[in-house]
Amino acid sequence: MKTSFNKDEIIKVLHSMLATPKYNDDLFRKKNGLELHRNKKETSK
Amino acid sequence: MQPLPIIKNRFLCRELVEDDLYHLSTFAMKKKHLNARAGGVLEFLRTIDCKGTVISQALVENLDKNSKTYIVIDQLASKNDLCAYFTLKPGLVPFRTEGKSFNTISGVELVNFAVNANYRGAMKKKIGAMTFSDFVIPLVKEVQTIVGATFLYLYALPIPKLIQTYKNKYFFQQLKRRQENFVHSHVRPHYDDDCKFMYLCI
Repeated sequence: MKTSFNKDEIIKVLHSMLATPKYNDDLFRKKNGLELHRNKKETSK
Repeated sequence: MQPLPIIKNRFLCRELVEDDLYHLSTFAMKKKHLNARAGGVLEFLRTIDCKGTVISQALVENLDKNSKTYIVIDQLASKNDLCAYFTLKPGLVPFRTEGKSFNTISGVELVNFAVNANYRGAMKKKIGAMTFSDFVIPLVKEVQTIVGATFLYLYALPIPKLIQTYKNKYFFQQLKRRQENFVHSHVRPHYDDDCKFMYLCI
């Protein structure tokens, strides 16, 4: 697709979206009453 | 890569497969949720025809690889061990740049996410949050590592309480109206009519 980009506009939109906090597992678990992971290594098989 | 199944304590998460069909009839949603137009979430997982045959669009899409549906099982539950299900799909979020041009940001869509109202086992009240933290996020992060994805996003039913839950407990954000309208006019599926686009940076 051929597009003409306005870099300032792209940066503005991206910044406003990316400026929101990233998922934080400890915060999420605390907020939802889940136990915090003592060991960050995940149990899987 | 995150091997499947993922096991966290007594809970196991794996892809939905054909052998699970008989299992799906035990999955139910609360009546108030069904009344609030969430019936499509249940129908996607399973419908039961007049002969009692279970039909699963989720399974069809798993086989077609159009999306991936995962189920969460309580390995210690004596019955109704199916706790929750969720469906993931790769996607793009468009945003306007200049004039009619647009660019895209990559993400993973949480197409469906539901807990089983018949589940009575451990952590019943927290099963949704546990599923999200222990299974949804690790899988999305895996996708992010392999092909890149900036957001996890969803189209929430326009139910104020549900939107508040996604905002306050799951930390999803909403776009400004102008940007949301742009997303809706380009990529919102018709089955998500009136739904609210919400995203979470990962």
